[in-house]
Amino acid sequence: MRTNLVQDGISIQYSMPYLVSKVANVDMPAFLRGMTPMTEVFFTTPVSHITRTQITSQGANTTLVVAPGVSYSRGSGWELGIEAMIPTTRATGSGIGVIAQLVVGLDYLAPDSILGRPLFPSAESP
Amino acid sequence: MERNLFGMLFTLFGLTLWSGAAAATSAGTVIEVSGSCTDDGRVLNRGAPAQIGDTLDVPAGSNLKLQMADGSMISVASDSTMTVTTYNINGSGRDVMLSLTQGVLRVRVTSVTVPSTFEVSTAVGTASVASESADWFIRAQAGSAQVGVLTGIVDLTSTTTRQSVSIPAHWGTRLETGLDPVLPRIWAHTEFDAVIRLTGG
Repeated sequence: MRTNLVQDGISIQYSMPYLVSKVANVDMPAFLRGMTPMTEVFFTTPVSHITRTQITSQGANTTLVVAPGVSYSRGSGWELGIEAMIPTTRATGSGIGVIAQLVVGLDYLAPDSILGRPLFPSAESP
Repeated sequence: MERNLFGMLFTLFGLTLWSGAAAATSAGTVIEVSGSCTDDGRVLNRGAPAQIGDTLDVPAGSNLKLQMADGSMISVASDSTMTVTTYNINGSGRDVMLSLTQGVLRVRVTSVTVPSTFEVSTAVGTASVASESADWFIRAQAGSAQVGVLTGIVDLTSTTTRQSVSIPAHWGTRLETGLDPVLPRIWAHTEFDAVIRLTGG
């Protein structure tokens, strides 16, 4: 029988775009105005169907990854995020990795194309 | 000698007439009006010209629609005040600057074959058409401005920070005094419906 796992995570972010558009005019270079520094934490831990052997080594079965990184967006149809993946328990593994994600907004870059609009638009769409 | 003097006077008279005509260049014509809209205090009727430098006042409960010299249409919602700062179109280009003190405009900008600058300024920032044509809205309130775009692309630039964002079709954004424009987002149809109602469709 497979072990039941609890998986959870938390993300702490500080949005410079929000700061400079909703809070205060902070003097900083244009590049920094699009930055959102962040730290994300993911963990999994077994909670049931655990054998005696697994109980004794439960700590070793808990994975915890801390991922500090940054996301960049200037509201121009794309957003780039990059994070380091730092394992913090033996079960998580060893060695630091890097993960990156590029999000391209077709609804921004090509709003009137078939890919930029809902495939099944509502009758009330403008 | 007398002939030269007469010639000079005639030229001066002609120049005076020409400069008067230039100062009163018509930017557009009122094609729809409801309520007591005024142009620098004069009551506007259908067919009245809107001239460069005029300030149009549309009180609460009124509406105004203008057809401009280049074929563009401007709908002015109730409780709005707009000044036609510049409206030049000729063979070398189109140069338009409207100033929206308060209220809502719907601006349907036609495409032209010459280089074009079409801007609406508010107290907090300036919206500029970045596509050949556009159908868009701008709302000016105390301390903020909003832009929503139905078709085309409009750039919104903060007066204070000089930072700008581009707003494509179906998107909109907001700008508050002294800050950068908020990153654009897709506007819901209810948001567009609200400004369409205000500007009389």
